[in-house]
Amino acid sequence: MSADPNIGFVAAAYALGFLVLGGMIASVVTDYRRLKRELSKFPPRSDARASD
Amino acid sequence: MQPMRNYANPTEFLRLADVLVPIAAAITGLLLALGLYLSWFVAPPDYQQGETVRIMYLHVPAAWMSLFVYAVATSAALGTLVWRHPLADAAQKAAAPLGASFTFLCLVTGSIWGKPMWGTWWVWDARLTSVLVLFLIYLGLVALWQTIEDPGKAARAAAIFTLVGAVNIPIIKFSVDWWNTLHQPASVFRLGGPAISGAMLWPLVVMALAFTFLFLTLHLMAIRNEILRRRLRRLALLAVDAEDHAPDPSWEAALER
Repeated sequence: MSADPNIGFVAAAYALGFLVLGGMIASVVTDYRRLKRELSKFPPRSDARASD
Repeated sequence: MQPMRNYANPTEFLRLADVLVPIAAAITGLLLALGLYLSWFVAPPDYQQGETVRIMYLHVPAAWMSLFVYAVATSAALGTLVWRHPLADAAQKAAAPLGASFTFLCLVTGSIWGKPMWGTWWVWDARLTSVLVLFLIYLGLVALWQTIEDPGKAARAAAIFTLVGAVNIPIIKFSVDWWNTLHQPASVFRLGGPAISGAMLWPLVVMALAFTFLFLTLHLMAIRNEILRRRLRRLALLAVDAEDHAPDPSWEAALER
């Protein structure tokens, strides 16, 4: 595989793939953690509607 | 219809998402590991392209997902405008950055594949240009959601923009048939069946399933984030409202004197 003259293009494409997919996962997970942290600052409301 | 109504309730959706997300994430991980193994170590090199063909296992699923995510966003847009489904606008908003990311990956891996095979990073042919337009539409949707503060107004504006942009989807699909393009015509979804060998098709199918499950996982998580964001916004507004209506201690002191 490594003897192929275009192997650098394949490696670059997969490196970018990991970066983009990893970035998508990281952004959704960090957003979730931040929102949970912010929400935990509010006291739990006994009158919260089920549809909130 | 009752189960659908239950899942339309954001609190019920949050409970369902908490169960489904770990399952979907585990399936994604397994499919991605299997797909990468098949793509790198089992699929044969192409007789003309050599090892460069392995970019296909990343580029083609990303291209399919860019269209699939737009179809999901279009359904959600209809849900917002026609059925006023409570979760439809959250689903729209959650889909836009994911679709933009898949389309970006499709464009850049296509460019990296094009350089050694076509001798150029980019040509303004119908397929490449229409996919670039799709990427710009996704960016426009992300910008729209960020610039309109009222979520209800943003949802309606984004829904109309999404439905107008849907005209680009058949243009992308049939661009290789309607115009002379440097990009090759369809080789999997075509009349007469797939034109590529089974040894290359199976790794491609597994990678496409992995990308689909990745999207489903991230979309569920992003919709959950959107529900939490709205809950946070409402709580913050209620807190400000409570502060505004609280008795001013200086006035109370003045009255007592």
